[in-house]
Amino acid sequence: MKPKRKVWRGIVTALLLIWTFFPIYWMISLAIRGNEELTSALSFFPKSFTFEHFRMLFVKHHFEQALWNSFIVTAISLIIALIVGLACSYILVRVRFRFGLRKVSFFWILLVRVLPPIAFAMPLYFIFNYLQLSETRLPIIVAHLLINLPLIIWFTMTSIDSLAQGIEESAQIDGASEWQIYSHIILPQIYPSIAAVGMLSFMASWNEYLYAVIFIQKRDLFTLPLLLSTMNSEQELTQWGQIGAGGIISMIPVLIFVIFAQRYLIAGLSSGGVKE
Amino acid sequence: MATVGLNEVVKVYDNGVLAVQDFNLQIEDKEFIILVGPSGCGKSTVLRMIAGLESITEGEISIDGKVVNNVSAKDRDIAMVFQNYALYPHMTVYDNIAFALKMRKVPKDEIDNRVRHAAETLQLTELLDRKPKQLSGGQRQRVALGRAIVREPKVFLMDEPLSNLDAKLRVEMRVQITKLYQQLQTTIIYVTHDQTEAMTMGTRIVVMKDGIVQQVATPTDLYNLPVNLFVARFIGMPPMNTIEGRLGKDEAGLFVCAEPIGTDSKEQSTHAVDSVKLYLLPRYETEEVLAHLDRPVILGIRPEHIYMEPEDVERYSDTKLQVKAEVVEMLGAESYLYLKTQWDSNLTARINDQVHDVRYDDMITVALDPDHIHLFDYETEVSIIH
Repeated sequence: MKPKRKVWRGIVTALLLIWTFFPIYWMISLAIRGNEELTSALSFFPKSFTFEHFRMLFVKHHFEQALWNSFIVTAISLIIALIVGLACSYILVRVRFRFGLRKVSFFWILLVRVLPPIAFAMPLYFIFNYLQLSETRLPIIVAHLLINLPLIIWFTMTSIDSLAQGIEESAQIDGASEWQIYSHIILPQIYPSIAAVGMLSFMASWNEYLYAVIFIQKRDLFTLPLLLSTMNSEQELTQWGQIGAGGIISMIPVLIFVIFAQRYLIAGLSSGGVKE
Repeated sequence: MATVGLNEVVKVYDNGVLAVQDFNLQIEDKEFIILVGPSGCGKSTVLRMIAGLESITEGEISIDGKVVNNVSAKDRDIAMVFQNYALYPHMTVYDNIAFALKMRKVPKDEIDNRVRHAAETLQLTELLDRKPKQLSGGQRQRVALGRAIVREPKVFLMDEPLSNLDAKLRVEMRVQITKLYQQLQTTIIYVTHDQTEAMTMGTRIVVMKDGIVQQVATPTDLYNLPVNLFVARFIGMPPMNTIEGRLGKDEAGLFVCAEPIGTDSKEQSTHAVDSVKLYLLPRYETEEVLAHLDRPVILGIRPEHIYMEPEDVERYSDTKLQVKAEVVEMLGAESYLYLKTQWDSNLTARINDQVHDVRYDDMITVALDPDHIHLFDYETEVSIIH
C-alpha cells in the first residue's frame, strides 16, 4: 500500500474511534466529577474525582431495584422469545404448508417488526388494563416479546433453511425423534446465529424505553432506562453525574452478555458435514 | 441380516411425476443388491422408500417379512450411507459414529467398545477427535460408513456413496466396501449409476430405466444374457456395439444384412455400398428367430468379440467386415480401436494386446465372433438371440 493511502486510512480510523468513544468518555467523565464541577462550565478533563454519584444512585434512587427489574424483564422475554422463536423458525422452514400459508405467516410475523411500536402500545395497554395486569411485569414482558420474536424468527429461519437437509434424514435413520433432531442436530448447527440474534435481542430489551414508559406505572417496577430518564425530570435539577454513573452500570451487563455470546459467533460451524 | 421384499411398489410424486413403476424384488438375506441405471431412473427413490424417507404411493415394502409401509425411518432398523456423507458437522468423528447408539440408549461402555471397533475396521482410530471439516473426502466417507456399521442394522442402504470421490479413491473404497460386505455378512442395497461398481460389487444387479425394472440378474448373466438393448448397452465398458440390419436367409443360412434402418432413402442412396452379410450360427435357426425374417433387427457385439488377427478373421470369414480405423487407444495391457463401417456406423474393438501397426484411415478387416452375437428386435429392442 502506498504510504499516502496508509496515512488516510489512519486518519479515518482515528476519526471513527473518536466518534464512537467520545460519548462513552463523556459519560465516564461526568460520572466521576464532583457536583460543584457539574454546575459550572465543563472542562474536557475532570478536575475533581468522586464516587459520590454511584453511591447516591443506590441510596437515593434504589438503583439495585431497577437493575433487578431490567434483568428480570430482559431475561424472561429473551428466554421465551428464543424458545418460541426457534421452534417457529424450524416449523416454518421444515413443515410443509398448504395454500401458501408459510408466506402469509412469515409476512404477519415480519409486519409486527415493521410497524411502529407505538401502534401496538395502545391496544395492549387497554387489554392489560382490562385484565387488571397493569400493575405487574407481564405487559412489559409481552411487549418485549413483540419486539424480539419477529427478529429471532427472521434471523434463524434463514440459517435453518441453509442447513443441508440430508443431515436431518441421516439423523432420522440413526433413530432420532423429531425433537432430538431439532435439539441435537439443528440447534447446535445454528449456534452462531442464535448468539448473534440473542445479542441483538438482549440489547433491544435492556435499553427499551417506549413500552416501559407506557406500561410500567409502579415505581418499584421501573427498568433502568425508565429510572435514568426520571433523573432528568422538571421537578429538580438534572443529575448529570448520577445519570452518567447509571449509564456506566447499565452498560456492564450488556458487555458481559456480549462477551459470553461472542464465543458462539464462530463462522462455519455447520460446514464440512456434506459435500457441496 | 434380513430379507427385503418390494411388492408392486409405485411412487408418484406430488407434482405428478411417476418415479417408480410396479417395482417387484425379493432380496434374500446377505445379498449385495445393486440398483443401477442412468440418473433419474428412480433408483434412489426406491432406496429412499426402503429407508422410509419417502412415502410409498402404492404397493408394499417389507423387511424381514414385516410390512413397513407405515413404519417410520427411525424404527426400520436400517442404516444408510449418503452420497454427500451427511455427517453431523458440529460433532467429532467419535460422536458422529456414536450418535445412533446414543439415540437407542445403548450403555456407555458398549457404545465406546463398538465405536472403537468400527473405527478400527475403517482405520479411523486416529481421527476420532476430529470434526468433519478437518477430514478429506475419503475419510468423511469412511466416517459415514462407520456410522452405518456401528449400528449392526438389518439392512445397509448406500446411495451412490462413492460418486463424490476421485477416481483412485473410488477404486480403493470399492474394494473396502466389498471387504466390509464379506466381513459383515449382511444385506446391502447399493445405488449407483456406475456400471463398473455394479459389476464388481453386487451379487445381483437390478437395472432400471425410467422407473421400470429392466432386468434383475447376477453380473455374469447380465453381461452375457441381457434381455434388451438398453441393458446390453448400459452394462459393459466400452458399451456393446450395435449394427442395424435386416434378418435374411439364403442357402448358406441365416444372416443379418447390415444397413442403416430408419434413415430416409435419399440419404441411403448417397451411402450406397455393397451390402454386408453377417451370418449367424445354424443353431440360432429356431422358430422364434425365424419369425423375425425380413424384419429390421439390431445386431449386438461386445468390443472384445471383434477380432483383427488374420487367423481369426480367416476362421470367422462368415462375419467379417471392412472397416476404417479412426482412433487407436493404447491402454497398456489392451487397446481400444475405434472403427467406422462402410455405412458410417461406429464400432469399438477391444484387442487384448498392444496395437502398434494401425494408423488413422487404415482399412482393416475384422471379424465378429459368431458365438457371441446378440440380436435384438428393432422396434421393441427385446433380445432375440444371446
